[in-house]
Amino acid sequence: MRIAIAEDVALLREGIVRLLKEQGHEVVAEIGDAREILKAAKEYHPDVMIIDIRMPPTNTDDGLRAAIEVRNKVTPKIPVLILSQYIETFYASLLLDDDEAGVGYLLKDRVTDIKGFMASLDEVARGGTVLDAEVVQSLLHDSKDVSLQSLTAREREILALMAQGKSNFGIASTIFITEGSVEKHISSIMSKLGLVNEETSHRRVLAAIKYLNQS
Amino acid sequence: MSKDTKNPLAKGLQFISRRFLELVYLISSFPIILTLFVLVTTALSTSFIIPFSILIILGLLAAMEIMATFEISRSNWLLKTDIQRSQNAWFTTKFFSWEGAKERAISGRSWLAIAYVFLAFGLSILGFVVAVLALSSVFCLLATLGLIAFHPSSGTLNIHQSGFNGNLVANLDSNHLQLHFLGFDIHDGPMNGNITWTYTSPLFTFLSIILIIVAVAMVPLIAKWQRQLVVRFLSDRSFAEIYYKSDRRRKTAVSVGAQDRSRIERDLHDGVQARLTVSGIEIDRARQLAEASEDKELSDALDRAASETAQAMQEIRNLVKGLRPALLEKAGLAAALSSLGSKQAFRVNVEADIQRLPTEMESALYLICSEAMTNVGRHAKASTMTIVIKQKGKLVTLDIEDNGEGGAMESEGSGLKNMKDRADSLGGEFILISPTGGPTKIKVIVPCE
Repeated sequence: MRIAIAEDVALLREGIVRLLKEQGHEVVAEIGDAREILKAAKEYHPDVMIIDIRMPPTNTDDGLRAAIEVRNKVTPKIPVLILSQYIETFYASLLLDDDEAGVGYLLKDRVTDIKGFMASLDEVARGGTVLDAEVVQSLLHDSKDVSLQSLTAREREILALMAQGKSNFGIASTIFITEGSVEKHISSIMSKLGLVNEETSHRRVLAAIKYLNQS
Repeated sequence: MSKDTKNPLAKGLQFISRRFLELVYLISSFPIILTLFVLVTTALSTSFIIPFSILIILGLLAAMEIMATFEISRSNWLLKTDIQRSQNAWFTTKFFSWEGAKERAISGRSWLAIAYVFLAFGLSILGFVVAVLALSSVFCLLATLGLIAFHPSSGTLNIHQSGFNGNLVANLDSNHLQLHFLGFDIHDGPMNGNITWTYTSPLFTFLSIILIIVAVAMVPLIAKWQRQLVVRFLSDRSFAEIYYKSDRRRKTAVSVGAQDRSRIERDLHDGVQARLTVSGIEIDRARQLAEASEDKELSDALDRAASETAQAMQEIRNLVKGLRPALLEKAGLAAALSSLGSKQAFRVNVEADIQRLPTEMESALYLICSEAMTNVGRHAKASTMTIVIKQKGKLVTLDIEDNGEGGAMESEGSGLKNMKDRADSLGGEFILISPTGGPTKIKVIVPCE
């Protein structure tokens, strides 16, 4: 894949670039300032962009704002994987407000799980949605809806894993149950939340996340 | 910060209505406090003579509670203050009992209230004089401008002393005040004098204006002194209005602290956190290699290294988050606290319908709440915590309550001590109420210019 990376801390940027190259990807742009992000997106039109939320000039959420700008201004849409030192549901909802296809939001720590990180990156590049487990936990925790209280601990766990973009098989192998029981759990979650089953797993999760966000 | 409107007309009206209410306060203070003074001195002096002296004294001490309530309400009503009455009754024992007598006799509050009556008495006389001066200066101004005309009138003062006879005649008409003096001294002979003031002249208008300015400056000053007496002697001090300990040094210390924190946070973010993440990547890479070469021992060791690194990243993240949360900076207290609350094991309700506050204040309040959440998580066995932040005029109040088991103590090195220190650093107050069995309540009040 052709990837652009925006991360102002050179040490970390180089670490990730090395990792990506090792995995056979091409890094088309290395960006250290959020003001360069849109320009790079237009110039290189990468398959996916990895963007740190906190970047110069103000070192607050410049990266996120640039990412949203890229999503709105560049066609065809470039998938964006947002990395952050912290997870804030507030930021997640800003991202999802736009269009959830091809959006990821992960804690920076996830980079250290190379396989998992690459899988997430692929998922986002394919137009999927990847949310950090912490986002889902926070959303679940924040939600005041009673139907959520009816989810079992296992079901919450599975919902969180789905939100990370894991397939049924991925979930099954993470928590050591069969794919069949994963499916059962998922349909139970969907019925408890009163959601209609849709074809792809990320859409279902997204529906769930949005539903949680509203309540 | 202030909710005052920007409209100059509204501001002017507000200024006038404030001064007017202060004037009413000062004028009403005189008869009220005079009465209190007479009652207190009478009670104190008769108690030395008549047989029921102890009862009178105790009655007086008990009555001070009512007096305090009344004076606090009067100040809150007329001076628009937010002085809090004591949350609990002053006395818990029966009046007619040995414990009751003892409690009232040694009650600091009652004696303070008596001290208030004496001090306020002196101040109320001054206040009354200033208030009358203020009113009469307005009257003078109107007169000098010819807007009020005096009926022509005159008065005569006869002076008869040994060896001297005289008359002082004062004539007042709509423009002038004339004084005639006619006298005869047996040694010095006749003494005559004539003075005429044209009080509608610009000079007198000018003098009246000066008088008004002085009075308008004095009225709020004396009202403020009286208010301070109420706060210091009658209110529940801990819940009371807070004075700006306008200590520039402290303010600087706070903002330097905030700067330091932000620098440390920056350094950690760009240095240690980035380096840890890269180490994590390297460890995972090594682990994959170990797995590929089927070296079980090495692979296990690297698993442990990976989990330690992950733990370290988590810990640094929590530490940095405490220093200066990004969301706090971006979206304010309410958002940052809700976000923090959502990560707790118990439910946290946040009500903070306020505008943005100064950076140091936001970060101190945030850290206080964060500390409170940590405490509750560790000790309180609570299922719910409620955080309410309000801004009322120049005060910001933070109320934290949990439904845990209570019994929290503020000791050296504890989280509560840190919370108190943070409140102090803002020139604010920190109150902890945590009876055994709960609930625990924390109140923080900080001044906000």
